[in-house]
Amino acid sequence: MTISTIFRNKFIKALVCSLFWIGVWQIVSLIISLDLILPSPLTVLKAWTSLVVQVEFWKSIGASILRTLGGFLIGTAAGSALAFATYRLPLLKTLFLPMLRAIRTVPVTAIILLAFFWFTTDTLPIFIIFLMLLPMVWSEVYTALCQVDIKLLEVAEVYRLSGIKRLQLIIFPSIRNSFLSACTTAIGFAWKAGIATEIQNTPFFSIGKQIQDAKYVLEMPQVFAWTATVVVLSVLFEKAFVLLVRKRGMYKV
Amino acid sequence: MIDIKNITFSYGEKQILKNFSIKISDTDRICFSGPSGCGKTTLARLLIGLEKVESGKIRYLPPNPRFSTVFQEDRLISNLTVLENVALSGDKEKARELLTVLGLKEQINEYPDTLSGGMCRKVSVARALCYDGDILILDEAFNGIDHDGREHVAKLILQHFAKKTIIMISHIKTDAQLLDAKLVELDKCCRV
Repeated sequence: MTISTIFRNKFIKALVCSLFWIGVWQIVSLIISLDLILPSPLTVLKAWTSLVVQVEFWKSIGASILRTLGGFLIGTAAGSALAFATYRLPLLKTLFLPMLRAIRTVPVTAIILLAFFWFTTDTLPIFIIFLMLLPMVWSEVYTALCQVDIKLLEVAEVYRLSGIKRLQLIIFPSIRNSFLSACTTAIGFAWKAGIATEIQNTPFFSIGKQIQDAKYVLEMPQVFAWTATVVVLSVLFEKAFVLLVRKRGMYKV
Repeated sequence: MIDIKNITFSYGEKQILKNFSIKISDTDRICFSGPSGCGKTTLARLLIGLEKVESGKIRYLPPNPRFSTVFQEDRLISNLTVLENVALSGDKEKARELLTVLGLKEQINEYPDTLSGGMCRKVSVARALCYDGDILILDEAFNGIDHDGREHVAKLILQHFAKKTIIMISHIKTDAQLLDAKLVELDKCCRV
């Protein structure tokens, strides 16, 4: 079996690449040989195994998942709804565009500080995720809407299709792939923004608080273990979403 | 009845129609023919209401008619089957019947991108016939259909729109004979 044949298998490819980077991490940690700066993969694994047996670990994960999912659902729904509204009413686009651009450019930390007084510690991450996803999903869906074949919309006009039928038969199939790809990217963003907010805001049960607490006591292996958990959760959610979408046959050309 | 009075239309700087007038009665069959770019398709689009006239008026009696339209391009929805495309705004049984008559029974559950150009054209015609419109607009409807097929399609059109207005757009003058339509030749400035 040649190397190129092995690399054709997606799983083996991912595994080999992961092992390569873990190897690099191991070598660098050996060179530094100070856990406070860069703990080795094995130390992090040990820290992680000590965490998973604690109830608090699962409670924190559960609460963070709920917040991330909540923000993701509200953000994608609001972004899509706004895209439809601005597509139908160009005046709304003129009105909302400066706000959407501002959200995109203002650093997330600044928004967290501002919104700190508006929300409770538990709901702030949901708001921040919503705010981060809003311009992203809006932009993808709006662009896709603008690219819907005008000739097919004329057919719908001439054959007097109802609004629902136009959406169902022409518009949704045309924007589906863009929307789904926006959602896939949004999942990663939701985790990033959500955990960043939790770190600053420290809700009682949250991954962010656990990272912050570990940092205070200079437990760097735990900081790494929690961060790795976030990466795994983000990847799992992304894969689960793609799998769900594929299973329902929603990815069509 | 359609009463077109002194209509003018331009695409930007390019004038397509200038003071064009014609009266079309309820059971008329008209074929507008002329060189490319003379405004045949624009005229059809103005009639359907997809473009707005700059000046002049198009009056319908009774007002607000429904148009069964075969566009210049097939304009089939790629994610719908042939049957779903034909029954877009009509009855599924009627759609099935039309497709069978047009020799597309085998392709009923296929998607448009698997069909030949001629087949797509026939599907487009079937869609127009399946919709119970008051006026039939055929923009180069026979393009890509072979000689025997043309006569067959024309016969079907006449069966379904026997007592209704048929407006045909074609750059081939002889196409008018297929539907026994009155030929209206347009010149470059869309003058009769």
